[in-house]
Parts: sequence; C-alpha cells; structure tokens
Amino acid sequence: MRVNIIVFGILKDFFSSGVELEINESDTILQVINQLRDFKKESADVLSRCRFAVHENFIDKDYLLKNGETIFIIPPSSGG
Amino acid sequence: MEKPYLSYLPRVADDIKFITEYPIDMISLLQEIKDPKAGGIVLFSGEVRNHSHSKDVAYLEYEAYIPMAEKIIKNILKEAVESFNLHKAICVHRIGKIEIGESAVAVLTASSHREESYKANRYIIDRVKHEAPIWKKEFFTDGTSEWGHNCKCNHH
Repeated sequence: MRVNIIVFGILKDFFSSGVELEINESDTILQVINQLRDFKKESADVLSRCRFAVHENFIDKDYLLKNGETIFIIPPSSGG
Repeated sequence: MEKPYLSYLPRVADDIKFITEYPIDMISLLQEIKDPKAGGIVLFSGEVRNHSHSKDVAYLEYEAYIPMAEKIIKNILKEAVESFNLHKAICVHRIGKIEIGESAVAVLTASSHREESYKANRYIIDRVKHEAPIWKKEFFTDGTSEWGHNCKCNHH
C-alpha cells in the first residue's frame, strides 16, 4: 500500500516538500522513518527528533498506517 | 481589509487565526487587548535581529503547518487564560519573509494586576516557540542560509 509523506523545515532539504512511499500492511511510523533514513542518511538525526501527525493529530510511532494516508513529519519547532 | 489576526478571548469562535502572512500591527493589537477589568497589559514582540551565529542576517523566512499551529496556539492561550486568570490573551505569529526590525511574533496578555500578565506572557511565548509547528530559516548577508534550531529538546 502507499502513503504520502509531507515534510517541513529542514526536512525539505532532504525530501523536497514530500514523497510517496510504498509500505506493507501493518507497517507503522517506525517503518516509514527507516525508509526515509535509508533514502537520505543525513536525515537520521532530525528524523529521530520529529513528531508525526495524521489528520491534524499527533500520533505515536506505533500508529498503524492505512492505505492512502498522509503523514506529516514535524521537525523540532523553531518559531518565535 | 479583513484583520489578519485575531485574539483568543474566553468566548471565542472556532475559526480564529493565529498565523498571518501580513505584518503584525501592534497598535491594533494593543487596542484589542484592552479590557476595563485589566490593570496590567504586557506586550512581547519577537523581533528579527540583524545577527545570529556571529553572522549578519539579511532576513528570515518562517513557515508553519498552519492547521496544527492554529490549534496548538489556541490551546496554549486557553490554558494560559485559565491558569493565570487573564482577562484576554493574544498571540499572532507571522510567516513568510520578514525583514530586520519587523516582528515575527507578538504575545499580549491582560490581567487585573501586572504579575499575572508578565508571567502568562512568558509562559505563552515559551510554549509557542517550543510546541507550535513553525520553522525559521535564516538568510545571511553572505548568501548562506540555515534552518533555525532553537528547540534543542529530544522528546518530540
């Protein structure tokens, strides 16, 4: 199944504004992080400090993804 | 023109906006925060300064995950109003390109006595900087640029 990834801030340097990923049934956010990290090794440090959101709510890393869902990856804030 | 900002008031509509792409109008905000019950009003403005990391800054750009930033800021203001017994609280964060000397974020608090306004204001800006999904990119005069990283915590 496929999921859409939207990224912000420094992650745009690695993944533009987003990517589409092919994942397996019963995959969680953890598998998504691994795929992204394998794709861009330099993103590992930031990815380890990110929050994740689906449908405008934060989700845990064990959140079970559904086909066609859009995951927003939120790096540490730097507003203000 | 429609107001590019709105405040959190104890009774507030759900469609209010805390993120704006327009310059922040401090005079209007000061008018808006005024309340006959308030003996103290505090205004904090987070300004774009001309230096960072020992380099000269040309300008900043901010981006936000707007729907969640709106939700989070609204919640922070709501909690501040309740915790500090405020009469009003306002927070507006600007996104897009912001020049030196312009305001990137404004927080205004109004309470019966000054102590609560000071404390709540600090509480609000600290939480907004830490929790709201908003990101800063610094553009330096030497042509380089860097994403901001003022939040160093590891628990996100």
